[in-house]
Amino acid sequence: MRHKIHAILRGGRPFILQLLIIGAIIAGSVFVGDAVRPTSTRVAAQANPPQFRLPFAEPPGPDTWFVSQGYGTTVWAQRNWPDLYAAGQGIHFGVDFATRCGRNVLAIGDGTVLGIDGPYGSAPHNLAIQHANGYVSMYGHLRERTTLVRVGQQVNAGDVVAHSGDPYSPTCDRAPHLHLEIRINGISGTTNPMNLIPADWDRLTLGVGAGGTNFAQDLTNPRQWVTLRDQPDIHFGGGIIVNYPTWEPNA
Amino acid sequence: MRSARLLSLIALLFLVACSNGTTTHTAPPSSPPPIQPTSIPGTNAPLPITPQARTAAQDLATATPLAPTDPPMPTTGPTATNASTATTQPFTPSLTKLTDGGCCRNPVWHPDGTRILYTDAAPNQPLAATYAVPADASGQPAIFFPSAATVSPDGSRIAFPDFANGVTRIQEFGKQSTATIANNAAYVWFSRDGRQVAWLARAPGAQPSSNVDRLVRVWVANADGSNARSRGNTVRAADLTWFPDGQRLLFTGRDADGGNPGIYVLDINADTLTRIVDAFSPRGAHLSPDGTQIVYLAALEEKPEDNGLFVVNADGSAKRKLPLVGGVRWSPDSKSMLILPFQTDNGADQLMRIDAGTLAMMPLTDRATLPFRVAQDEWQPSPDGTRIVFNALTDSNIYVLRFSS
Ligand SMILES: [Zn+2]
Repeated sequence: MRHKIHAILRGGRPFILQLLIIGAIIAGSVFVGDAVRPTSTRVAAQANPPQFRLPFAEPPGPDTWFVSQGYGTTVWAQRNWPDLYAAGQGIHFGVDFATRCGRNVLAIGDGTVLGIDGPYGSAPHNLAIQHANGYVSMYGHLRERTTLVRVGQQVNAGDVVAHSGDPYSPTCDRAPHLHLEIRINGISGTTNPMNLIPADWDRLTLGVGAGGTNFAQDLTNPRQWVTLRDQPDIHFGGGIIVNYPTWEPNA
Repeated sequence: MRSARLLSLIALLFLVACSNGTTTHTAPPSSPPPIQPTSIPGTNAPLPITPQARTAAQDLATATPLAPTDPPMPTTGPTATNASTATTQPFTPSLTKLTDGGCCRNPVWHPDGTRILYTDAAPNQPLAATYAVPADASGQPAIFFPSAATVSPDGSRIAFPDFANGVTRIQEFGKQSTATIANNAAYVWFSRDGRQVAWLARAPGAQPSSNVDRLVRVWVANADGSNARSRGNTVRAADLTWFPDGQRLLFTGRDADGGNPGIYVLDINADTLTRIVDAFSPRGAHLSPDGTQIVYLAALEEKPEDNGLFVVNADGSAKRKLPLVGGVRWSPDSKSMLILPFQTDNGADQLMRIDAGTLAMMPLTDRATLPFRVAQDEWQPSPDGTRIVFNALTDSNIYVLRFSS
């Protein structure tokens, strides 16, 4: 089924039709054959959905990239959500990969370019890719408006689609990193990329420390949302979910 | 093009090596499939450990995707060759499981070395409590203090938040009175002797961006609540650590303008701020218990040889590169460091010791005979340096690993 969808998307159809396909996907459905069917039908028929991959070709390490902030109720997000993450119910709704500016960013799965510098936040530049499994991957804080791909273009997992940047400094001397989101329900929410991208995430936290890879423990519910993988999906515009008492050492 | 394909192939192989190799079921975007732990190619070799420890090891082994194969990832540089020449020490390490039910995170040692403290829900009260469990598993977990709390390194005092009143309270064990710190119930760091506390207070102004250390002021006060004062002008700080002298604080960060990244020392009496290490993105700086050396991770530097774990004297001199990267802690005697190396596979963790003088490495555990996985770098050496406590990735329980007599 997935291959059939890909064939449709790749099949030289007019660009306007591809946009319609994308619109249908955003509306919560997906184009299957000649009909638009509910997402649940598509999902039920899909035996092996594509696993996503990491957004870099290089192995992790202090020379290349590392996880500087996980998805979810990080201590960082708990401290800074009013300034940074209020739109996403107060959590960090992506994964931050610290890396020097200009590193090649790879598509995490096969898909179609949905938007370049669209309304996805993560300034200064972003890129969104629609995947046949219904997810949208979003790559933020890119160095420049990418010219490596164009809207509507089919891409494959591992294709170089952009270059990493720094959200705060054009000279890349402050906080260079890639912010990666996986959008759900069209693009109206996010889910935890660590549950969809195979990697040894816990080992990637070794030695990098501080508030990005520690989670703010809710003292009213201390076992919830304190691990890299047990983190909530969010809906943009939903209520803040991190207004809870916590006692954490990391700033 | 050919090299790009080769790179892709290498990346693919890396991903395959990193993946659990499981097939996950399809799920709608609103309920994505979690990655399931797989069964293990378990070792059937008998584990030469105590009956209690055998249980712990088996608990871990049955739940962990462990493949004790690849060596730790060395960093670039001339010192990356020592690992293969070291030999395992004669002591037989053992694991002891302390909790059930996947209760826990961030376990820490009580300063007396006999108990592990952690925060968990408590019956009949709205907020979590601090629990203690004997480090030798000789008893069940019990409430140690009716609130989340921090015990001073000398064991003399305990600090805890009072959210209703927006303060932190400090109690000296064995005494009735409680001191009050007006700090919006912020976490406090005790000095070694428990007589002072430090905390961070957010400075006015919006957080400019993610991954930029926030603008804060460092505050200090006596543990009885007196002499509270802010120090060091405004800085961007993370991870405060007291020097043993009770006069200086160590942290990573930047100056108030966001420049000059590195590792700083704040003298709270002279109220001076000194950058002792110039590093673009220093991570996880750890001060040796005797206050003479610092180990930290340097990352994203322009030259590859400048990235990795480094040890420097506390004044920033005599910088030396360690042969590995990973999660690192000081041994209590300050003569060596313990490290969980960053492995390039999805297999078991391995605890190693690095001599602080020679940088020679010694494995303390064997990945095949004593597999374990630490969650989220949550582990801590015991006060006597013979054990570590950790949060297990496999079942979210607390374990003690003994590696020395
Ligand atoms: Zn981010």
